Amino acid sequence: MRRLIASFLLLAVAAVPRAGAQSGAWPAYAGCWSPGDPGSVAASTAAAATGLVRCILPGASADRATILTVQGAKVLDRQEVIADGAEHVVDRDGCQGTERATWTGGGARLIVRGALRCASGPSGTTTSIFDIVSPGGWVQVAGVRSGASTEARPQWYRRAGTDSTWPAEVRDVVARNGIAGDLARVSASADPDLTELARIATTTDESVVRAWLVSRAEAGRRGMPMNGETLVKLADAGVSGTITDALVALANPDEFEFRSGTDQPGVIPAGGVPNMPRRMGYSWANDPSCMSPWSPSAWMYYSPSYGGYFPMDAWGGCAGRYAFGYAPFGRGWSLGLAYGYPYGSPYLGYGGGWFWTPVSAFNPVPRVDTRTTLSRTGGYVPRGNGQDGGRTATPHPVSTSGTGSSTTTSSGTTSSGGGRTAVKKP
Amino acid sequence: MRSHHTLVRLALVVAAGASVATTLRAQSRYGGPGYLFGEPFANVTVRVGYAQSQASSDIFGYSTSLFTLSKKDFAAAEFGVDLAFPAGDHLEWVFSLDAAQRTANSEYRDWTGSDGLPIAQKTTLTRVPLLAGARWWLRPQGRRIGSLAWVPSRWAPFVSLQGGLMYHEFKQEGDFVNFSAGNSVFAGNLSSSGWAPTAAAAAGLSVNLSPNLALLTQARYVYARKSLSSDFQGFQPIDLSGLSITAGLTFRLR
Repeated sequence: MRRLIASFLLLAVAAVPRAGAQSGAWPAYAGCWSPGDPGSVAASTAAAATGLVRCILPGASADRATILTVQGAKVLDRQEVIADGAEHVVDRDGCQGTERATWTGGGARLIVRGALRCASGPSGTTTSIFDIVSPGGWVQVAGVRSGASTEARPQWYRRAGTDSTWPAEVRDVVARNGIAGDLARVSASADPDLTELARIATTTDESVVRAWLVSRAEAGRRGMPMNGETLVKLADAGVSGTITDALVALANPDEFEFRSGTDQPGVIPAGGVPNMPRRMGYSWANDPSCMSPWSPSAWMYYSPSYGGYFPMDAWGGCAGRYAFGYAPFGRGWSLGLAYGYPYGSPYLGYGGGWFWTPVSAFNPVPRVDTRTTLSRTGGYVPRGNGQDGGRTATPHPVSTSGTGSSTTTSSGTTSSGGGRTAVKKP
Repeated sequence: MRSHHTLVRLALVVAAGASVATTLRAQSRYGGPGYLFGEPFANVTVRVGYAQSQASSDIFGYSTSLFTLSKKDFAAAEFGVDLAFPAGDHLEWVFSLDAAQRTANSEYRDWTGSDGLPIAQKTTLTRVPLLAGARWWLRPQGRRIGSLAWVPSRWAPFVSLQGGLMYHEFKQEGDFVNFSAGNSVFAGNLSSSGWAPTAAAAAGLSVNLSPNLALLTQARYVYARKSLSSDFQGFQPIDLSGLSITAGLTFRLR
């Protein structure tokens, strides 16, 4: 336990510039806190039985605090955190390194980053985010990265009841931090804005940020609504796609859900962003075989209930698809919309579309052969029989030559000309 | 006789069917405000507009000089549908079906019937290009953010090149004069139809309306020529080329 708590507080990220002394929200964290159940700031029954609490004692200056692990009268661990944005050398449990603690969001959240090398050989970096998720509690998401893998763990805390056996320095802080602490926590529990979110996301380990976002959601803080514009701003700021994925998933709880990837409750595994879609999403969006309408996943199955073939996707990992198929109760090939319900839905799916129906009936009528040939030199000459209606042409009384416009004169179409000949128009 | 009507109807049904299907699909939730849950796998565009006919071959000249027709009489309303499959940020494979048909009534400019009535006929030009090709977006249609979000661009211009076939029919029916037989007026019917190799180039602009809907406008020039049938003797290949300007809605399929 001591090692775990100690590891959460190791820090240092050389890339982060010194922010200078900052005023923070230590008063909001002041007091003693019992571990809460995962996903909740309610007290953990198991933790309460041990009597272990974490107590945060603001220091003499605004940027300093001492974090104690207390069990009754015993102080099991004592660490000082200097949240001034500067790098500090640390030497804990046989490991040496540096750490840097920075307030963000005007003092609402604390980011602690560290790097250490232990005498026994292993080295790595640590990241912790302290966040007041409600006036009644806070969450610390801590991640340890060694090599390419990161393990991130959220831990919820709720206010602990007072214990007369606690050390005097602890009892003094608890006694002095009643209403003032509540007010400080209300003030510090505001959601991060876009700027703060981008800053945290681009300067903090991705796995830790994802776990932090999920932890906030599990504590009922879904944060800002995501829309296309905010997503573009975050991406432009350099926020990783895995983090925007988490934000999108959290903003659409009806479409995505998070699933714990280990048997440890509340643990979000590295890379374990939204991983099980309810209706659509991550798994098939990342499955190339589902992206192509020509893939095997676009094969269809037959639904006797609805009289048609529908995509196999309706039973598999992919949602609805458009597809060609043969509709047995139609009259030919169809292009229709077929949509299915994945994951055990009692519905086989439904589909629709229109069908290219062959002509099935016609009304026979006598046909007059009006075939004609137009010769560039000889003009129009009839080829068929019975086309001569006896009419001839005469020159038009009023020539329309050169008008260049069509008329809407009703024509006799293919009926007899009525014995006419053509007459030249004057 | 029936073939061009069937094709035109088919084109209209395709457009209407695609529109209804994609609209229904678009109503389902597959994105958030301002974004989709990933890049569209296909885009269906239903367009309407105006198709001008170049009508530069001599069959048009012959008809417009003899009958009360002009080149404008071969311009028509055009209906089209595009099915496009994105293949990257800029490239899209596009399959297009368009249909334009115009029937113009006319009469002989210089001749009238011995009964004093005009010698009337009607001329129909049908063009149904079926094209496949590539569309190059000068600006990406959208931007993938992570693996779960795709944010469409507010606007994106494009150019495209396509090739394919054009079903066409040039038909004249009505009364004609046989000048080699005493200027007798007879009822006639001529037609030339078939498939012509076609090339097309287009440029346009897509303006985003919502994550799954965009307004697309395009100007397209289609080039096609085809020999006339034996009904028309001694004429050059018919010029089926022309410029069309259409606008429509693009439904993004996810």
